[in-house]
Amino acid sequence: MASAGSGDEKAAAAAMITLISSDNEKFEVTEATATLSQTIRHMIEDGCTDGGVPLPNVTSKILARVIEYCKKHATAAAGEEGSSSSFSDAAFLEVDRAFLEELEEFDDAFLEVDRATLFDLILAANYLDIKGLLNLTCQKVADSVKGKTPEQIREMYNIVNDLTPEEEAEIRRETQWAFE
Amino acid sequence: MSSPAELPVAGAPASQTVFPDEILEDIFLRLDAAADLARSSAACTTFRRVVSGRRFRRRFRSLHPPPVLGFLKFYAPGAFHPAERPHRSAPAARALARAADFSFSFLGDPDDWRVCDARDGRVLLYRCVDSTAAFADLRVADPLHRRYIQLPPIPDDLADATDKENVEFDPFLDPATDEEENDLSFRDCNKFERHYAHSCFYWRFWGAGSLFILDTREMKFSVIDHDQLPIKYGRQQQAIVEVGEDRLGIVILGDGVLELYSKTLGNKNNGINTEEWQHDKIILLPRMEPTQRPWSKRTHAYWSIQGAAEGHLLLRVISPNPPKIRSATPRSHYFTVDLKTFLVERLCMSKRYVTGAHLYASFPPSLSPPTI
Repeated sequence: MASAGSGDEKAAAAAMITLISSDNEKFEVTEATATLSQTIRHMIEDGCTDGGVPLPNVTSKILARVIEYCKKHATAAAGEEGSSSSFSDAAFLEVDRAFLEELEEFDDAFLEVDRATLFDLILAANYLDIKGLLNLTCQKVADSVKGKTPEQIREMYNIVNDLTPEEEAEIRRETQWAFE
Repeated sequence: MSSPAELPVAGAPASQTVFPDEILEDIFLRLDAAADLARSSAACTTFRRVVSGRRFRRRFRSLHPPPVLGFLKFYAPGAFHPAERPHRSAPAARALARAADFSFSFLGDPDDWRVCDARDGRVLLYRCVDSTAAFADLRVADPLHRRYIQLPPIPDDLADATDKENVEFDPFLDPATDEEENDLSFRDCNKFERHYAHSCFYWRFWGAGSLFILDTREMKFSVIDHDQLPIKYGRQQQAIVEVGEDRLGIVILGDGVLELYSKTLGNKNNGINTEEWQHDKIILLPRMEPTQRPWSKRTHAYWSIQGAAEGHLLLRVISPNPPKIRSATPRSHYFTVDLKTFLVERLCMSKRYVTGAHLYASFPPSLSPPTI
């Protein structure tokens, strides 16, 4: 996890940033990877990343996953920039499409995690302000709610029903159509 | 680092209080169906609070187009046809039909009112007292919340025009500017169709080959000649629609299919440039049992375009009666076509003959604030 983007010549030349998880593990990543996070981008712009960026809200387990996502998507962003000058070239378009498909497969596989990890990824994406990752993870939760009853939603997400019977009756009355 | 202690630690055991409201909003905004939103709100008090929030509801409504819940018959108040099973909006449509007053009794004198437009949960009606004074009284009504506003009277010079023969008024709601009313008068055109796309209204007159356009941003009129249209005007039914952000489309009803043509919008000539129309798509209509016409041995399902609004087309197909009751009015089946996904869905069935309809799209009652 310590060295990032070894296969990417462009990235290798770029500056490296050290991220420090809540349990004090250090992760060295390229600036291109780190700046997918708007939070870190602002810190770099403010010049306060010397000696590493402490992320007390993110554990090493989750940070490793987040970096995995950012690396993949930073390469994708670099690839898009590289091919934009020759957009008329059918071969490049073919490569782009193949790469986008690969990225989608990566995202699908990336989301194959348990509920707790998914929730932690959402919190981390929100805290680090990584728009793509937040979209991806929130959509996953939303998709899993579709067509479910309130009971199923509570069970899936370990939620305690704290509504009073009166409140429940009121909701049912207002939204009876949603339960038909 | 800005006060990280306020935020929960990612990696700590998840519980129902783990997400701040803004993340819950982000998740709930991604639900497409209002029914999913309603069921989520019944899970716990936190979910209910977030889903009930005014800011959240505004955001949800701005991100999701309201579903088509049925249609209102041209002219006739009280004739709301809700979506029926197995249409996915059927439960919400029934709830709307129960909660709203589509007879517009709250206007008083319900028999005097005629429906002339419907959009965004609002219905434009005029009082039909006699033919010359028809447009003296125009109201915009919210049938769910039983509210209405009276529109200012038509200026005298325009009202005078109604005294002349062969002039028709076409009052309509303008969705882009949220203005309640516009009126246009047409001479010598007893029948026309009105469509709306990209801030422009399009009128097609029976007997004339051209399209008459009003750009509501500049309040300018223009005309598309018939030779600039994708196919010559015959008896085919057509509708003008929006195709994505920047294309104008024409849907043409063919034999068991809809054909979609489109072209990019230009900035000049009221949104029409000289580029050729491009043939985008053929949408297959469901196969219906053919109608046996008493006077003809030929059998065919009889499709027609009834209206286009709110991102959908409303189609009608007339299905045959059993031979013994041929004289009875045949049953009409109504279908919607989603112009984004091109999904064709059966909306409802009617035994009564409907000459024209306004699609009615709105969120289910509990999610619909007053529109007036």
